Amino acid sequence: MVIGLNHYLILAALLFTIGVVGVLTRRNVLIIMMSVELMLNSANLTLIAFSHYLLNAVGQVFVFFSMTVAAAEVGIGLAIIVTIFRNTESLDIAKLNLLKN
Amino acid sequence: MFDNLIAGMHVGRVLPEILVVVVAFAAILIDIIMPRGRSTRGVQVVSVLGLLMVIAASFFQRGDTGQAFSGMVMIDNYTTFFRILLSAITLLIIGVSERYIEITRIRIAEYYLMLLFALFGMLLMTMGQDLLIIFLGIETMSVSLYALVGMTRHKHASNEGALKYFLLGAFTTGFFLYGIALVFGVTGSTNIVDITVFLKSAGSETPIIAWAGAGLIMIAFAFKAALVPFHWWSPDAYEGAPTTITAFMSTAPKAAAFAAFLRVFYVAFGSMSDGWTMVLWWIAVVSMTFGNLLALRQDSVKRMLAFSSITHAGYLVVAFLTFGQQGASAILFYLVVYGIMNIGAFLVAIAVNRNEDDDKGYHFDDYKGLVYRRPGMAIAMLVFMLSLAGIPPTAGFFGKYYIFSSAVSAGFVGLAVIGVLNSAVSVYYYLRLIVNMFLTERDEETEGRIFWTGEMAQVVLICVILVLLIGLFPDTLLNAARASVAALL
Repeated sequence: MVIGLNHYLILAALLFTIGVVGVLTRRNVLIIMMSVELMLNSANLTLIAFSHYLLNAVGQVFVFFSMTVAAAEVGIGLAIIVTIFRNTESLDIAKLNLLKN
Repeated sequence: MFDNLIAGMHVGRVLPEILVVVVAFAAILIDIIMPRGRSTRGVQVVSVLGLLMVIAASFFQRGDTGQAFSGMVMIDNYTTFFRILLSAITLLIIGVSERYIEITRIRIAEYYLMLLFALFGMLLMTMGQDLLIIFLGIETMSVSLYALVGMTRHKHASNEGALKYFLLGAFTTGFFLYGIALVFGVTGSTNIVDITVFLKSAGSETPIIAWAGAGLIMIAFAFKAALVPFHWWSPDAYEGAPTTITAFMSTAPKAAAFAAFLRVFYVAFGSMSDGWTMVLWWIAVVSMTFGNLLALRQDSVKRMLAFSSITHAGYLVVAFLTFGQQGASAILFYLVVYGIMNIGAFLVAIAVNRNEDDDKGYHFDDYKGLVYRRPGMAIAMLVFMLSLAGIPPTAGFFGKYYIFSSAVSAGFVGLAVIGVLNSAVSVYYYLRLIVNMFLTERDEETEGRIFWTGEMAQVVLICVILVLLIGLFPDTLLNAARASVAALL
């Protein structure tokens, strides 16, 4: 079997769905962040697959930028998680309900 | 060859953006050089002067229009309009920040740095002509805002607001990126001009993947503009953030999100308008209604303003889905008016809140008899509330009038009726505050000290004057909005 564009696209779509489901169902902040990373990387995979089959380098350049952005987001996210862990000693999102109204 | 390349970049056209970054770095440098404790003064002065320069540069550059960086960004009247609006909002917020970050125990120059970087991101969003630039702009803005919301590290509410904002923001980044990937796959480009050409020629045979991509990008913008059903983060982030940041977040990023939203959907996905106006019709209805219903139940003025900002975003969508010049210029007009009146209202809320550390002073009861204690402040709040409710002769009235008249002339009569009804409901909670301020006896036992500085007085005065001036002479601003939109459509 020849692996073609469609295989990559379906794989990326599956990964994206797993990421979305992970964000919506998991309660631990770190697992949610990992699911978000999965979503971003599935989008990157889509970009690279299209880029390869369209013979257009724009998609691959885009991925460099999006990887940088993802790194910056993880940096700020972990900083926020550290401050919240200092105050509450918990990473369970269900326990963070001070602002619920 | 190298000279040609640099000349083709037109670096001069992005001078205001370069200035913003230079000012941001100058601010952080001053914080390092000057002794601890005294540096905020220096950082404040540099940021204010720098932003004045940015506004001046944007104004004097308004004639030099065209593409820059090989079509990655587009400098036109539309960009200039948002440059001045966004820099001015940032200037107002930074202007009142010096004493505020002292009493909230933030006290670090990163506050200014993050505000300036957020401004830079928003400027990229408004001028981006490539989805890459818009993506980078949204992310630069969002990452700075996550940090700003969590600036008061010792406060649990601030941590929690930042975490929720961050998690949901990162979640939407995934949607945005995946949407861009799908659009790139169909059209073979991320440039808005190329996408427009491709989708126009595709016409009714637009591939389903392009629709999916446009849908995902729409979700991302709806999230950034805090529209129902993508609004869950906004009340928590708005309440947890330091109040100056709440005032900033509910005005400038919303304006920038609509600026990019307009450019992407009116230009790139313009040929698909039949599809997305239908979706936006529902988003507009639920945003206006849910925002109102939730705002009615609030006892905290800060939360009430947060929920009502969802309603106001709903009004903006009403004008958005008319897909025409009239609607687009109504959006620009309303963004300016909303920015001014909302910042004013939040500043008075900061003043009345007696203790920034526990946030208890945002209750409606704290405004009882304010007119006997601080008549000027009460009258300023009255102007802002009337304007938010859309009562003449304030600017808010004309903002809503232009929005709903654009909806009627585009044939969305039902939507305009729903909008006007919602606007009538919203009068209740704005009026409730006015009644508390003017018609209730003051309760001397519970009232606290008022936090008021000269800078806050100046900014509130500027906001009051602008709200009344635009209310009396709306034509100048409307013409500016029309001229800006003409560059877009």
